[in-house]
Amino acid sequence: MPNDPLPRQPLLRRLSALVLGPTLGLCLVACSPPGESIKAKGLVYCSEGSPEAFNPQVASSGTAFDTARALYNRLVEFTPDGKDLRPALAEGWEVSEDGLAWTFHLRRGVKFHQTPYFTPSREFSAEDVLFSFERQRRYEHPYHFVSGGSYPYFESTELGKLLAGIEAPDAHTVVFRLNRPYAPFLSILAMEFASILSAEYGQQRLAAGHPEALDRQPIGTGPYRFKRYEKDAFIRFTAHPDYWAGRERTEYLVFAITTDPSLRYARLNAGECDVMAYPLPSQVASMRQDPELTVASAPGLNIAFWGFNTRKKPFDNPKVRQALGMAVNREAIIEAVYRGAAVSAESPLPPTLWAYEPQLAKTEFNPDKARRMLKEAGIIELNLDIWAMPVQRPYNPNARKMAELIQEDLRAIGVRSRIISYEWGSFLQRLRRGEHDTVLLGWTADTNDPDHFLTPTLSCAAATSGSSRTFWCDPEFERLINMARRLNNQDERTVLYQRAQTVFKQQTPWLSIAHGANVQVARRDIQGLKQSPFGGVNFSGVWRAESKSEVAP
Amino acid sequence: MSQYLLRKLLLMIPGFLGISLLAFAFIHLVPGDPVSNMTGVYNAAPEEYSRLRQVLGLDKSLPEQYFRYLGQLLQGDFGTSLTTGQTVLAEFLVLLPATLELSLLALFLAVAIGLPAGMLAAVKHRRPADYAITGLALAGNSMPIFWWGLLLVGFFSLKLGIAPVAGRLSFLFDIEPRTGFMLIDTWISTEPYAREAFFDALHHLALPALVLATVPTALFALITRSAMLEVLSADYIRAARSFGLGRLRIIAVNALRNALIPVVAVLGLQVSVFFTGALLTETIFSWPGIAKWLLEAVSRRDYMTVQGGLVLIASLALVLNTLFDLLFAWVNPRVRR
Amino acid sequence: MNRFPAWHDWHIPFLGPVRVLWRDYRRDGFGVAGLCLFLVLATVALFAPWLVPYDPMAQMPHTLLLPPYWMDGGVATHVLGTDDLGRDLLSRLMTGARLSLGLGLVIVLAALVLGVLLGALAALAKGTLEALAVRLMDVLLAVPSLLLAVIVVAVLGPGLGNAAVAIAAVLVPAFMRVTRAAIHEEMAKDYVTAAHLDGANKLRLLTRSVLPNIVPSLVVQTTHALSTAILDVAALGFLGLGAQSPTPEWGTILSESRAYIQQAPWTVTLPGLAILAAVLSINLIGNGLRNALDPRWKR
Repeated sequence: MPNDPLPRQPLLRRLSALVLGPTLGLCLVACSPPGESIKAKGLVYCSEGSPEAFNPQVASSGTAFDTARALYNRLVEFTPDGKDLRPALAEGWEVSEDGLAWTFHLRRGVKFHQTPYFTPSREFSAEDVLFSFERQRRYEHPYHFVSGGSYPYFESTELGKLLAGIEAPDAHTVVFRLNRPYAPFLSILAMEFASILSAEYGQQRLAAGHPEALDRQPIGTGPYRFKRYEKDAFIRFTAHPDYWAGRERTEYLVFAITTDPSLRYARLNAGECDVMAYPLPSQVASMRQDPELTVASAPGLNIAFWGFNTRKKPFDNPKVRQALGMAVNREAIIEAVYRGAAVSAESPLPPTLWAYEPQLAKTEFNPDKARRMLKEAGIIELNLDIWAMPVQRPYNPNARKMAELIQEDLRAIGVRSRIISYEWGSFLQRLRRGEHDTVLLGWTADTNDPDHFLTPTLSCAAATSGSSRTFWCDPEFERLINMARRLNNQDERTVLYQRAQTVFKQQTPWLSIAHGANVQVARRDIQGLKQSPFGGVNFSGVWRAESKSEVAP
Repeated sequence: MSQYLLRKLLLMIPGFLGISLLAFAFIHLVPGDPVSNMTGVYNAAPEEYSRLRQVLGLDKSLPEQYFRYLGQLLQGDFGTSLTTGQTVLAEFLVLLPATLELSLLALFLAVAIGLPAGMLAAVKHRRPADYAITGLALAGNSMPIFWWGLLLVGFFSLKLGIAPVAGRLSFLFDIEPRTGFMLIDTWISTEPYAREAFFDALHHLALPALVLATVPTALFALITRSAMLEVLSADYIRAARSFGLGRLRIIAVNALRNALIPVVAVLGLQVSVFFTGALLTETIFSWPGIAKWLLEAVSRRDYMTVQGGLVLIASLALVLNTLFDLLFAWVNPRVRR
Repeated sequence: MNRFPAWHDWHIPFLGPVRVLWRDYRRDGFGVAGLCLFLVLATVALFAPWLVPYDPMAQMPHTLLLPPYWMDGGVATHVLGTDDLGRDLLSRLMTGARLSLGLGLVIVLAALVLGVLLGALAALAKGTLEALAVRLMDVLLAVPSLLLAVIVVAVLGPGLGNAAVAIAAVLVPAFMRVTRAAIHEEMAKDYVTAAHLDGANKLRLLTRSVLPNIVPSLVVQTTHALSTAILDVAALGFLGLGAQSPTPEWGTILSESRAYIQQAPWTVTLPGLAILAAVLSINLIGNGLRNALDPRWKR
């Protein structure tokens, strides 16, 4: 081909302009500053996923409960530090001598949300409380089988068996009758699944033939009203103008659904969101150095563990379980997986809980002894599966990584292992069927009662139902926690729980690894955010400081 | 031409049949029990289980089941999502505009940058400009765009802070989704901040579109360059030159038209390139489009969504392919055989 | 011995086809650069187990996220730095080269053999069978390839082996199409008709006369498939559907390090560069081969 056969002309310049034009145009657009007009009144929260429903009764994820706290109220609620209970929709309450009847006096003048799809004609009353609990409790309730008919927390707390009946002597009083005295009852009512929904809205949807709308287009009494939802994209709220505890200063609240934690951090960094859910421990160090961000961290009421399937050989032998526990370098795990944002664990209960046993023996890291103990137990060759949960939780920010560390530790004592992971839903299902040898999992308490730590994870009932991943059932342990559950005296309960922890340690159905800290990160101008030991986030009373002077140093 | 059109349209029918067969095979090959996979109901009681089997027609022979499935598809029933309870078609239609908007802008960028760059390279054959453009295009054509996207985000968004990290619009703008195309929705919105939101939407489109456009731009540049080189050396151009026609006129009128033909010819193949790119771009930029939707359905084991999504996306690809074939036939009469 | 002189190019002195190819290929600077790059990568991949400074799985808990040697805080013992578990990045990337290139080759060879066989069958088949095969091929080609791969992974479950099967399956139709088209074209040429009239057996004709002549198209298609395979293995790894950690596959390493893009950008930059280098080298070779094989560029 002859070189450049045609005379030179402005053509080249035009061609270059054609190349550069769109590029420059793109840059112009890209370089223009983003809008600031409504930022002052709005707040964006980078959340970790889409809620399965906008009704906490039918949901079971922390994601759904975060939205529930914005939309609804409970009769009683936890104080922000999680240590006490305070009145919410109930102004006051009393319990009968025998501990069987709990009477609640309801708050007056509480208004439900008014939205384009519902206009309330009356204020909150006892009817709404009955509606909210009877739906979950009674099969013949018209709403019981709407949205699947499954009420995970109502079922797992066994409230159905506990409740003998609920009555409303007048429009502002509700009486719960129990079958037996039960110390943690009040704290159960503070859980999200006990939120109060509007009976009037329920009847209206039912009459319209769309009862399931109740769980998708929510109406509550909470600080924020539902505005719009796009799955995997965002949830929009606006402030409830007639909120009983006073209108929120934040007018627009948006949950920006961002499943990838590195993307959440990037968005927070770029100012696209103001508060971020579940930062990775590896990010926290650089967050603390960023003057634009505030990092709040609180010890979590949770536990991460390496559980052994005690129904399988050789994990039915406590000796083997203890030996494997000794092989694991938990300090290295806390360093690499939690980046120090955790305290190492011995007991299943975290040290911040009143029932904690501080005298518990420590499981030492001793590979040689582990190897010896395995030999004594008659184990010559051992191959095992480590199931690593596929999701990130405050108690375990990266189970996969933890599994890789344990894999190396086990290799050092001559035990070969394989890491197994499935998508979360099928992972839990297969665990329930007991397909695993060992599993990396954890537990977050929903209340500050030790019973909610031990019964769902280590009791014999949990072993039968499959919610215990170790299938461990020890008669002595069982006897102790059953006794403690019926008592109302905290000192007596403490003694029983401390003995139960000693039994646990001797048996080691799981190796307690760590109690992860709950970390919340926000931009510096966000005020009023409080850290809950149960994890999750509550936007009641959170607002953006409008001028720099309002920002706390 | 009309005969060619008819034949092309008729050929789509076996195409759709093939896709439906693929989707039908999928749901039967997926691990686990077909009843659970199709309903999301696990641990059903025996009576309930056999009732479900009957409702789903799983007690019939495979051919019967296939024709049943085909019948459902023809009625526009692409199944119901196991996680949201919405029909797959409804979810698809809500998310499709996001992907289309991104892809169309990327296509525009690819054409607007790739064609002139290719022409420039051809005109400056074996000069530094040619080597620079060819080298860049070859690199662009090999780019792992998931990495490229991360790099761009790292530089423009995290380091310089001049581009949004992800998403279609700043979250505080509340825009009524009427068409699903963010640029149109913000343009026609009556909110006080509509104009601001429009530019915000453009701002959000810039990086993802650039990332998605990378591979097609490089491809267009390479194809245009070689087509242009061929045309420029062809006899009729030499003849035109010898008649004293101006260089610009020759390129614009004769060469360009003929050089465009191979570009149009590969447009059909670009459907696949764009979808593959969208799968990765939407993941990186958290872009709520159909590619990300399908990927999430896979990881949630929502097999009904995966099956319906497969049919819808593959059919869309087939239709687009046919359209581009027709376009090609229109600009290049030689293929209308 | 030359019964079919028509396909012989008389303008060039007689050289073996490979030498002709090399003579033409050498002129393309990009192609030569690509070949050099590929040879380096292939050497690394081949000898990785002996070349790596560390065990790619070995965790060093006291050297987490070390930067590369040339950056502040880097040390010479970990030239490319370490990842978040203190594993040596250079060792992981070198082992990853073995996975990407080796697995890519296996995938493409499998797809090539299957595609050529099926393509030849489709070319020889007549009537409805041919129409059916062609239609199926067209559908598979119209469906975006990564979509198909994702679907196959959804059936088989995530994992490197399954991802490889998925990608190989997706590459088959392209080979089928190239083979079938090339055979059709060759079969229509005079020399084949002549041989046919001479009474040559159809299968013999195919293997002796036609197949050697479609090798150029196949070579070009193979390089294209190889770069696609490497990219797709990495893409599936990145999406979490391919290799699972701790396997040091490049795409998987990249997706794992995404969380560290701000603190430890090298853990993102380096694996991506490796992918780019591998794919680019093969594309450059493919481009060079295409130019060298295409008679239009011979002057």
